[in-house]
Amino acid sequence: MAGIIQAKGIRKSYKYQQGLLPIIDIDNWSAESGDAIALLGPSGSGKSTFLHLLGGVLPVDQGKLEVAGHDVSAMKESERDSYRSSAVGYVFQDFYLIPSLTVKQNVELVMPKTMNKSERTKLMDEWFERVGLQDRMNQLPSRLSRGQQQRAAIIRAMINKPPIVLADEPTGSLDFETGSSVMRLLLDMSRENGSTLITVTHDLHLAELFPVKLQFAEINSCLKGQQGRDASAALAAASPLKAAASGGWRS
Amino acid sequence: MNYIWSNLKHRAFLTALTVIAVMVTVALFSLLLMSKDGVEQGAEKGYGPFEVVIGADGSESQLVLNSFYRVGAPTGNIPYDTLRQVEESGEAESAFGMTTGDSHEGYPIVGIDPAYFVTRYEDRSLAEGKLYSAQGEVTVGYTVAKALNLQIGDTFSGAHGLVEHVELKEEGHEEDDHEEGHEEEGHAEGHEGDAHDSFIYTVTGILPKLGTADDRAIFTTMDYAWAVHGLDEEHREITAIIVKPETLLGAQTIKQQFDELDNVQAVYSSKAVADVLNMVDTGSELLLIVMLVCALLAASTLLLALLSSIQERKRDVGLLRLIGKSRAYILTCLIGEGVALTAAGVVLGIAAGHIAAALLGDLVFTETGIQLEALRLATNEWQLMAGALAIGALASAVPAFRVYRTDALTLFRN
Repeated sequence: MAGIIQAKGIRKSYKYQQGLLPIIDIDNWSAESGDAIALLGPSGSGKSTFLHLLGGVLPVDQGKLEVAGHDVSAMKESERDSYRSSAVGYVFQDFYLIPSLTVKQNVELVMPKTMNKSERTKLMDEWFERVGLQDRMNQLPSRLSRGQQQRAAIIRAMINKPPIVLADEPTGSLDFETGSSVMRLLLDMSRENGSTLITVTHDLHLAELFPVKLQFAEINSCLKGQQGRDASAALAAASPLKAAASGGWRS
Repeated sequence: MNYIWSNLKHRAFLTALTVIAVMVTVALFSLLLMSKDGVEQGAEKGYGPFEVVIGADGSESQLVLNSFYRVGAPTGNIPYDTLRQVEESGEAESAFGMTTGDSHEGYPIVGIDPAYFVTRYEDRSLAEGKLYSAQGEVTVGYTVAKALNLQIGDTFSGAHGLVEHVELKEEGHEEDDHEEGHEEEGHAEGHEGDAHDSFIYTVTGILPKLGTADDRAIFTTMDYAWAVHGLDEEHREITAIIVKPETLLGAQTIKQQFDELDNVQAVYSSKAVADVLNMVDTGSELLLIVMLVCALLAASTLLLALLSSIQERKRDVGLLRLIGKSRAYILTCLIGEGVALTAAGVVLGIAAGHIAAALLGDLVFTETGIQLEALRLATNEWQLMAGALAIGALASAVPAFRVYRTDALTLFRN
């Protein structure tokens, strides 16, 4: 069976000083449908960039990247917009709920227009009840605790049952206990949906919950031969994305 | 729509401020357009069928303003005999002499043959009572009756000049002190104040609302002025003659014939009114410039509000892009927000303008003679709404295009 994700010879570089700094160089990697993968590696090692390539946020420079039957590497920007809305669910460390919308409206934002209002309402009621937020769904995100906000963000990522769910340090701003319950929720829901979950995490304890643990250095040739913080610092400096100051492991 | 509405609600104070700025500007524009319509319509129907007006030498505009719009002082007096000459010329279908210059509580007293109403308003009937027929009887205009609460049978004394009557308490104080702009010469006016005070008018009728300056006047027989001023038959004078010519050629003949007389001018009412309107238009244009500055300020408020809102929401825009919303969606939302704010301001502004016109209409008419039509849209008011929405959309487009290029990566950069 062909993998739901197939990466062949994909490369991504960032402009750095006068030249280009390679960040991603993956010869061949694939993931099966329904996999739950914890992506591990030091900060600045390109894990988030890899998620953005998978999510169609960043274009691939070279190679072929297929996700859930979509050739992401050949897509134009508008096609990547539509790919993200139909095939990808995102969960972030900072939740990114729109503060002017209620929690329910935040979730409704991603739901297809083809679904009628009563269907949407019914579906949302079920999901919010499941995560214990049924009483808070009509409130603004600022009225919810951080753990509750992340639960709402997980509903937003999962409600359309996307084939791929990408989570970038989803427990990074939560205490261990809350983080642990959020991670379990994420795993349970993606398993029920049959989604493939790829989660970047620095927390080795939480990584233990995942059936697959992938050291990013194992598949990214850019990191081979560039050890430790020097390589990470260069990558972090070149990355247009926000990089965490700390490059170490956390447990 | 949810997103636009929620954003507007979330920033309620700024939203309210922006809507108020647009509303006030649109309301002022709306009032200006209604006033402009009022002036133009008033001017157009102001002289009725009387194409020519004859009066003493002086300003044509002043003669027309006084004869038809009951504004200002007459240019002077002409011999009563001139009226007879006009009637005998064979070119006039009808001609009416007028005596003006006196007033009651600021409303002009006009001496004119009662047949004037039949010629001018044809089939209209009085609101109450009957037209004056004898010296000392008056028929009052609709606005005057309302403002002074005059009823049939009420009596009052007039005052010389066109300003409101002021009670004089100091002995020997000349009544001319409260006279303004009235240049009536050649009369023995030694104790004229006494004469005015002792001449009592009785209200016999009230005119219906005519929508002209006649609503703001008090009408009586032409001979009241001669009686009040104690003029004998040989010295009888009038302030103007309004003429409804038989034909267009007749109008020209009358103008030429009477314009040649010493101290007399004959003018085409339409031309003099057009001159007045041109002056009004110049004033309106100045006002329009001020209003455009107001519009610019309102547009700036909108622009600043949206700029600040968008600055705050760059991360939201990044998220919307990440979850697959297209650039067109973002552009539509942001411009939609500006247009929604403008539309709310425009609707409220038009409503506020018309409510103000309804509330202040009578006062404005009493004070200025300008009729504000609160219940219908003024000329160009649709254009005002369309223009305001276009300005709103344009002001919104500036910040919207600033974030148009925003991509999903913005979420992580911020």
